[in-house]
Amino acid sequence: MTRVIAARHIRIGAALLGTAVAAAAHAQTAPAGGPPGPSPARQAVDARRAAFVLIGGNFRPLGAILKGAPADAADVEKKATRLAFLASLLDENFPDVSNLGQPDTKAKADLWANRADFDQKLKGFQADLAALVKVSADKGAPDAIKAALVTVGQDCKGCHEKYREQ
Amino acid sequence: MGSPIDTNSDLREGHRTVWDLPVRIFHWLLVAAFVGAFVTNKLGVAYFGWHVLCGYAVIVLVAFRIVWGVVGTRHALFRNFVRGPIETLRYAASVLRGRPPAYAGHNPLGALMVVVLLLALGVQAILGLFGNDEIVNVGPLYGYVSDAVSLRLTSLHRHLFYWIAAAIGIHVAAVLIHRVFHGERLVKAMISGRKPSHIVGAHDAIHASRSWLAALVVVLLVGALAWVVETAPAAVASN
Repeated sequence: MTRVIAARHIRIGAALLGTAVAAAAHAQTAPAGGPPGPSPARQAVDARRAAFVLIGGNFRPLGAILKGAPADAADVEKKATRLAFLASLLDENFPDVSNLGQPDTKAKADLWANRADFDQKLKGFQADLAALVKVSADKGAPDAIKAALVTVGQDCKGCHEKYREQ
Repeated sequence: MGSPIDTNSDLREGHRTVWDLPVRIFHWLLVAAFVGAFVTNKLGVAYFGWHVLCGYAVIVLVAFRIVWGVVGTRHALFRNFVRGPIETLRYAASVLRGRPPAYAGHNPLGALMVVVLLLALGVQAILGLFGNDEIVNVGPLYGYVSDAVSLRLTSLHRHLFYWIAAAIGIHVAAVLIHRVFHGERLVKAMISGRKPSHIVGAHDAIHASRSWLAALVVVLLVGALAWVVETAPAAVASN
């Protein structure tokens, strides 16, 4: 049952993401005479940006729980399932060629200089999102759900502070 | 000055009050608010509410000190301690020669630091009101600005911290230098309000703290800040 619902959420997430990527891709024009479509670097930047936009949009509403609002486990599970899917898209969207610096990307060069650490942080983020999906699907105690949310929020903050232009 | 006797002067000479009670409470609450803001940021996204409270405290404290610099007691008044560039440079030269004169109130370099820290901390806290952490939290006045402006202000808020930390480092180092090289116990003076009588002449001492006036100023400032925050448009974060 949970699996079916999760699959549906993933399809919705994919559809949302597709729209965002298409919009981003549409906004730019291919260089004259070059190959059609965006460069691999551009594609990676656009894809991760789209993912982060949707991650923000799905995580932010849960912020009220961090401030003491009651946690609706079903709603948390829905958003956490989307977030887990969206976070998986980050895996291949920080290729070396996409180390473009500002203004093209807010990702710092440090990210590629400390690749192993970044990959570990990303894995941690995905694992903590999986834990959030689990605790909300299991209708865990409000405190357990809140604690899992805080952990995910800390993952956001820790990585932003290290690898994102502030 | 500078003789071994001075380090024991507490035992053998009288003291006179220079810092009124409101100034001393202000100083140490500002320390607590700054440290609290730093710690609650480090603790993470779940402590944002406390971080904002620390910011409110900084705003009220800095605003109070500015008002107190006009209506407070003798050594709290800006006109009695803020000095021009020439006198400040002359004092700096005396420090470099190793023989700075002791002041009843702030020395000219200390005065400069007071002004710098008040301005920097006030600006820092106000910037934070418009902030957006791009995770889940936004400042209480976020609703007044566009998201692009909020992100610019947040960036300034993040960078200004390091400048303030550096200024505080210099401030603390200067106090230690006065203690080690000149035997001046400035921390103690900021706690007790008193300095040795050979530094503070009878005409330089203050005789009342006017704490009731300070309390009234603080109440008015808290009310004004509460009104500003309460009447702000709802802070709904967007991407």
